[in-house]
Amino acid sequence: MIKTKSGSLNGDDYRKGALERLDDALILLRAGQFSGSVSDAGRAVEGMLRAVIWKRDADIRTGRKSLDTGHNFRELIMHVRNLGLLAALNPEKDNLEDKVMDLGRLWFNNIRFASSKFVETRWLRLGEVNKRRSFKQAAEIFYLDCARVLQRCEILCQK
Amino acid sequence: MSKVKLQEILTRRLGLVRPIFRLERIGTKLAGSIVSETFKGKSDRRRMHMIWDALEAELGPEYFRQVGALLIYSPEEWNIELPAQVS
Repeated sequence: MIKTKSGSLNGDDYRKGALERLDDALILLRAGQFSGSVSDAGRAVEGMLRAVIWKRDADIRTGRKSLDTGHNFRELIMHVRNLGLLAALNPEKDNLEDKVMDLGRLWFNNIRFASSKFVETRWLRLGEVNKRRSFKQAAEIFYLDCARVLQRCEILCQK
Repeated sequence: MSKVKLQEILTRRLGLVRPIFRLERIGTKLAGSIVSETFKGKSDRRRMHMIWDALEAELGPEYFRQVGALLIYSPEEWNIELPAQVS
């Protein structure tokens, strides 16, 4: 394991944190705390994308380059694509890039401060919540989609 | 709970075909990946409910205190070739 400066995260820290956030998201989902679930599920995606980049990009890992993506899913997944990793995941069957872009439309960094009502209203405006899909159902779909992203990224971390 | 115990529960309850477990302890919980032909052709929702139902039936509704995030794969999903790392 490559050591980082004291207090900074390495790829395994990001990965394990992402798995913990995904677990937190499921617990909150089953408790009916949907905003918290969405917040943690999205954070899990961000953490796992960071883990992939850290593990697969030696320039990031060794500190020659810094990861200037902030919390932007689009920029994170583009970095992963630029490493040539998405093609290996059978993009015709499993378009990870589109999935992450969709999640990034619904998730935002400050969601951790938002009430469930705020998130529900925002998702209503975006069409994610509607007459046929309740906020509860939309939150479960969001969780499953985030879990799918972690599932695909885990392969990139482990191999 | 031990890794072996969790593997035994899931293999028995789900009738997993040729399972491969990559479990680790993260914090106080067991988490990781499970690969089996049993999951082939099943949706993400179906797979997750299979796992949750099996654990709840065996360990009760508080199972989540012992088991963390589990990522589920068919062998085709797991066995992919990746390009070499960027240096």
